Amino acid sequence: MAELAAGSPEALERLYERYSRRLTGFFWRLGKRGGEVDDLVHETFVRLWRHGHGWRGEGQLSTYLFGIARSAWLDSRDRRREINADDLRRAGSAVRPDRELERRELGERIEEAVAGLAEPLRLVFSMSTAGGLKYREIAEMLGIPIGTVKSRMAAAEEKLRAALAGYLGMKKEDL
Amino acid sequence: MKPSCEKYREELAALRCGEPAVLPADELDAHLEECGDCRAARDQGGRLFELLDRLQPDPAPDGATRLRLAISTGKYRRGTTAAAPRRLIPLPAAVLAAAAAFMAALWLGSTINWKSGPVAPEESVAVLTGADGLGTGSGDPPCTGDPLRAGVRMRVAADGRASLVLHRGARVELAGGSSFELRTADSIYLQSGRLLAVVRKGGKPFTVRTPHAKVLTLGTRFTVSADGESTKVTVGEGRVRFTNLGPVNGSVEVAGRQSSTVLADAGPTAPTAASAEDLAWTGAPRRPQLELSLSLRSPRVQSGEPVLARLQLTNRSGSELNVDGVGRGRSSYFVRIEDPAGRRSHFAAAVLKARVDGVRTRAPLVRLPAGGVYEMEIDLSAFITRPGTYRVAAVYLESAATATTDWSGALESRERRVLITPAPKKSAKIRQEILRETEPFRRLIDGPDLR
Repeated sequence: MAELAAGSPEALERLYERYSRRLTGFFWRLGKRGGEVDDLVHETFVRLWRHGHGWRGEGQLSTYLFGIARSAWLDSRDRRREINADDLRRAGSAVRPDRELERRELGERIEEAVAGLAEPLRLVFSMSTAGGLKYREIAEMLGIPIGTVKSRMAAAEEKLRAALAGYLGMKKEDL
Repeated sequence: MKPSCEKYREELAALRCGEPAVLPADELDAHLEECGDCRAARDQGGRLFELLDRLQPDPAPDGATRLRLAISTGKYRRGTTAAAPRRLIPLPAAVLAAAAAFMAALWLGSTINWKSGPVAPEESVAVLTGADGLGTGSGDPPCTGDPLRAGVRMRVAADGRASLVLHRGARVELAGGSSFELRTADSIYLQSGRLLAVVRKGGKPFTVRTPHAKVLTLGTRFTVSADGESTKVTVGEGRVRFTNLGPVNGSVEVAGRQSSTVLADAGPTAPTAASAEDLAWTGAPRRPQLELSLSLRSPRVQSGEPVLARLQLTNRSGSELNVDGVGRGRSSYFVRIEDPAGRRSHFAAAVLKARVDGVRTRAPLVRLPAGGVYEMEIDLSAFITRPGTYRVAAVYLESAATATTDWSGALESRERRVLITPAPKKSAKIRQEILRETEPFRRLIDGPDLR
């Protein structure tokens, strides 16, 4: 991080290698899709490049980075959603291209379930499962008690299990 | 969920996220021992996390390149530090100084360049990611990693090649002999030759123009070939809008695995199935020669009895293939079940036994020889319970497909039907047993039938 503060693009690239997958999962769980996810990951690192000098070395770098990611996500929420290829396909054609849609269907069900979570639950769930942040870090970032993080996490998991019961090999009555 | 289970569910979720335990392990174990709901929550929660990890997208392959370009253009200037010099001058003084400088500049008739830092490649629209025999006709040939500017005509030597990534995300490969010009960060002009374009779904629209035609896409993989007389587009995946720019000015939509051609004064032709050679050039994933089949042990099962099936994956290609095994801790094998009411769901198949050519295995990755069969015995009892006719098909979702291709997708078997019949009522069953067991005594009492 000191290297980054000194303006080293290589340091930024190393951080990208290390965190891009986690950030991709984070934005995906927050309901972003396709190019939007890539754009937000890009935006997060650009913001880190521009403002990374502001990090004083207190706490975890991942907490700082996901704080930036959260800001980028909050800013993006109000932007008009661009029409992408998937939207066009859904709107304009009933043709299902081929069997690969089966896999997409499974993915879509999961995406729908995650997107269906209330925002506070989704944020905590995404930070913990994709970002790998500790409950304490999430609590500090969101300004909520750690017990709230704990209960939101459990509630998110319960709701996802209920929504995806069929894929988890169980009946809804079992929940 | 029972209120008393709440703290255990929270504990389970926390442990799964790597948080330290709060409850004594003995207490949690004792509760799990007696509470089936919480045991299910523990097991299914783990599976949920696996599914999410598995289905989440990978980072953009060109993400690092895009980031490097973004910061190298100087567009994103780094902010000043907390101890920045601007603090040394009180704000009002700084404003006055700036205003004075501005007025002085106006008075001098000069212009102020508001941009600072490296301005250079503002007009750079792509970066060269690979080149052999690429020339611009003047100056040194560009090298891998160089930014490419708009408006420069380039040519690839007959035996050369070039690959580049445009700033808006499209990846382009150019064949030897191609002559092209980058127009913007999301469009390219192909004077002649052949190119392969891969555009991310959900990314910005991307356009290829030729002397005769225009190809517009929102996320796909396609090739464009152009010469003095015609332009041909072949779509590997996705869909493009193909437009004749000549007087005919027609337009067609070309879907995956189709081709269409525009001539200088005709076309585009109606899309037709693309040739294998053209598809190979698009790099479209080739489906490995695998065959999936599902057979039910019995097409008629009494309610409450096990519903057993056999799933077979057969390698029909002429070479060995690597396929996902069942011992990988996450399933690639699913069953699609349509219940009597017509509701469809997918379930992870519970695999009882797995064999490769008759030999038991639990390997996470199975090497399937040419003609080999990977066979799984599965139990569908948990998903097929009520009387009625169910339609069942097997689905294999591949992630790491074969040794020779990068194909991934879903393979599906033929659909089978299974009828679940109601179990006979217990009272009727018992009555039948009583009648059978008491028959000799009844004969004695009633006497021989003299009719």
